[in-house]
Amino acid sequence: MTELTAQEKLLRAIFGEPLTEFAAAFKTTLTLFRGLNGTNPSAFRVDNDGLSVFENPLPDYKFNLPIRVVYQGEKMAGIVAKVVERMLTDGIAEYTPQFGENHWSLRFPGLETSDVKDLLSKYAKFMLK
Amino acid sequence: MSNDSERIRLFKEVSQTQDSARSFEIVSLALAIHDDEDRDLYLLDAVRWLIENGVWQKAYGAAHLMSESYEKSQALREIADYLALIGHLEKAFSIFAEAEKSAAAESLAEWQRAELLHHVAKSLRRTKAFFKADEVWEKAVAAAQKGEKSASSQDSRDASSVLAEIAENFASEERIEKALSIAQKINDIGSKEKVLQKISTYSQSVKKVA
Repeated sequence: MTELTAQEKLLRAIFGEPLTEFAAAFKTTLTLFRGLNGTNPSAFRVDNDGLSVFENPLPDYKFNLPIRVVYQGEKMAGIVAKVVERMLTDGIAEYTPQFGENHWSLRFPGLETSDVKDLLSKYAKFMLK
Repeated sequence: MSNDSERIRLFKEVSQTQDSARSFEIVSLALAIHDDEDRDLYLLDAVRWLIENGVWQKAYGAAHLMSESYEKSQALREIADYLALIGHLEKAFSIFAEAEKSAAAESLAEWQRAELLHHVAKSLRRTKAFFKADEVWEKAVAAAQKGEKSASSQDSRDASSVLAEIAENFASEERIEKALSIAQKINDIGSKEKVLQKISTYSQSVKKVA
């Protein structure tokens, strides 16, 4: 199969043709949000799937904690994004729409649950207070 | 804020020591923190330090200086855990009851209440107060099920997550029917499927042993 030129890729993208290799070449930055009424570790429910975060700010919370992530390729269930916040550099987020619309699961591989909560609390206090 | 930073720095310095004569100082430093949340957090640390240094009465006093918060219920439960460990069961049960009461704080989300009650129930079970533990678990399940109905998808999902944890805990204690009855009612499909799989694994290992 002949490789597409950059111009061809762009045209195909504009006209909406499915073009996996085109999407795969680009990185997308996304801001995920955790609704919070407090910033202590107890404000974060972390289970084996991670912490629930969403693509949109959530109403009815005192704060919305923003967490920027970057992923490469098409957004589909299971895609893993890298957290790009300086205080949370070891974090990853998996797109998990099975847990709700625009839902991502934020994880910190290798860290105990209590350490994850402490880290997120420190980040929340730095960002929101 | 800068004053709080200095108090927190001093608090951390004192907490490195094991000198119970500094109990008053450590509690005073935590109590002087202006930020409400940080104050509760450092009072919780002070409670833990006092328990470690064997002065549970002072820890109990410090817990009562906290606002009605998640951390207060956590502090009371940890004091009760310590008392149960050293055999002061009557006092332990009375403080577990206080921890349970504190878990109902108005400022908390239902999933937080459920999570706190689940921890109190686990502690009670460890203390062999089986009937009371189940009673508290009933309340935890009810709080989490109420939380699942929240208009916030985040709170609802977190409540399902607590229910899944409670169900898995029952399965790990080989109380498979109880685990299933909770798991099957979980709203969040993802959480429900995962915990049902885990229960099935526990159930198979129970059968193998039998």
